[in-house]
Amino acid sequence: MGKAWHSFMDVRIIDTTLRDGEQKPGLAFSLEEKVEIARLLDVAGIYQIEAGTPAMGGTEKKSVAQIVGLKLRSRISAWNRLVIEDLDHSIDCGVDVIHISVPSSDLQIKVKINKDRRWVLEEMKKCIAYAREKGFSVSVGLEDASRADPEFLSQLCQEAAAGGVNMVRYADTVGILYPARIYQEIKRLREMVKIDLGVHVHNDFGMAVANSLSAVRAGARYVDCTVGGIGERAGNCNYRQFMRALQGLLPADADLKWAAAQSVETDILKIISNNSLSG
Amino acid sequence: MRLNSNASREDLQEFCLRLAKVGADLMEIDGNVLRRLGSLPRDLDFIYRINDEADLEIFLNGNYRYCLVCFARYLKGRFRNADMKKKLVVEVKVNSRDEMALLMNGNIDSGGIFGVRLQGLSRLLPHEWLPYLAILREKLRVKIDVCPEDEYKMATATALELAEDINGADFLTASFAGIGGRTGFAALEELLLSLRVIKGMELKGDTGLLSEMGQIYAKLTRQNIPSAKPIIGRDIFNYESGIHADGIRKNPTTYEPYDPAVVGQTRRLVIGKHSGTRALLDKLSELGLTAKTENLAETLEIIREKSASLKRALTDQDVLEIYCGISDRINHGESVAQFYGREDY
Repeated sequence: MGKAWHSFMDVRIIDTTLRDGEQKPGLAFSLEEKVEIARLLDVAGIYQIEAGTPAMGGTEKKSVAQIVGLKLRSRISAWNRLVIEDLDHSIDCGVDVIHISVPSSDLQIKVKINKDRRWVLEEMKKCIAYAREKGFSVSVGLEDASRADPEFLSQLCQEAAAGGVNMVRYADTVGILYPARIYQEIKRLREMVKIDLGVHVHNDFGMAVANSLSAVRAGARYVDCTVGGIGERAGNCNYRQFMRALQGLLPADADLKWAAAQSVETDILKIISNNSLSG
Repeated sequence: MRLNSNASREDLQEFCLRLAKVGADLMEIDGNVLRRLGSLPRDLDFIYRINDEADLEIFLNGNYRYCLVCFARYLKGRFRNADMKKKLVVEVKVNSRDEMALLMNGNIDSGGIFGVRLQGLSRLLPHEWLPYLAILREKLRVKIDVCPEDEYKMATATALELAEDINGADFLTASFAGIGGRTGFAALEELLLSLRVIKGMELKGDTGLLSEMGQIYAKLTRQNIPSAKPIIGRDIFNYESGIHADGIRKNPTTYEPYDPAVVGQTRRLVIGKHSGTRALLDKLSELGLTAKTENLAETLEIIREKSASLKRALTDQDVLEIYCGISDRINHGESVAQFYGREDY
């Protein structure tokens, strides 16, 4: 098998059905459903499950803690803002990975949180150090990276790597990337920083699968997916479609061994479809 | 597209007219579509697919801009007339580098024909096809039409990547909602919006008609557009999560790639498990209430729990009942406290 295909075989899926997927307006899993979905994702062999946002408290936090308590083979991560109190909630749950979402575009930094780049850099370093000191693996998500200044992205990646972060996730928050561009972005970051890269894309223009594949070809190791492609607006990268495409583009003798995952995915889809999707 | 047998000629004609208005330059039809349409709408040019001898006669006697024929038929058909060749597009299936190499090495006699349609283009990454187009155009001396198939959900991306100015395709073939063929095609609405929003192209059509076209399409085919379908899905501009609601309130571009009005849609605030205080305030204001801050935290907690237990977002009525219930209880408590002169009642 040629070198070009090795990246396809090494892809690690981070399933965010329980976090970004559940953010699909109108969707509300019960605690029992979240735990069952996590269990099924583990059976499917998913590398990492982004189980939710403990900082929301209530049922959400309880569900993340219960999922951790299942002691699954899949790693369990929790999503956090750049807020120490958020991290404390995730730490309470005992997750494997603390994921810190960092606004990276000036639009997000200035308009959404009314801060500046220096604040974001400093807070990111503080939050990474806080989580690492407590013994947690940390990943950083560059929110709205596709509209961010590439130089600032490089700076964030370098600081994240220096802080001991395991993976940086490039997020195309509003789904405006296309394959050639995400390929260039990931390639550029890989050349600048020695750190594993992941991608989190949205399907606003119907290109989530194509963009994720292109990112993997450029060297991204982690791809965020959701079952059924559920998520905000037109959703996230659809797990089944992505895996099917990955397998389809590989040479005939390469087997991703995801046949078992397909029936599990069907079971998860049934849970999702039991939820009414609009109020 | 598989039409509802009761689809009226008027609805079909209306759909065709909308295609022209949203920005399609050409519409592909065949004998079956022609019979359903009756007469061809003006304001749109047509490319006629020739499947048999009868179709060839229809084309020769009609006023179509171009005709389309598959490669196998081209090899054995009656397409030697020079005038006809100027309108002829030959469709070739290309799905791999090997098939592209065969085409480039000249197994098609392209002398005098107008164009070649590359159909398929599904087994490489989208941007990997681009280098071949310039070579093909040079070798065959034809216009290039690309018609990506959606076998691996990359058709729209492929069409977009091949829309590159200098070395790209001359024609991009897509279908509304990506319908058709064995695995679907590039979705016209996704392609139009990508060209406009991502590539910054000025398009001649009015993409604001797309949402309405989705409704006509659903009527014609009796197939609902999935609610999360990019561009034309009914729910794609709903928002609920606290962070998103806060961002959209400050500036919708924080979480929207384009304004909903661009495609004839509107955004809608949904209240549910992921709502935050800000979103709740906005919803209550929308419902005509000036909410008291002290009532919000408890209201939000109940909303989240109720949404999770009902497994859905809450209706406006649900939200009102919860908020007013808490307000009444607190107001009652305040009244009683005042009556007894105690503030901690």
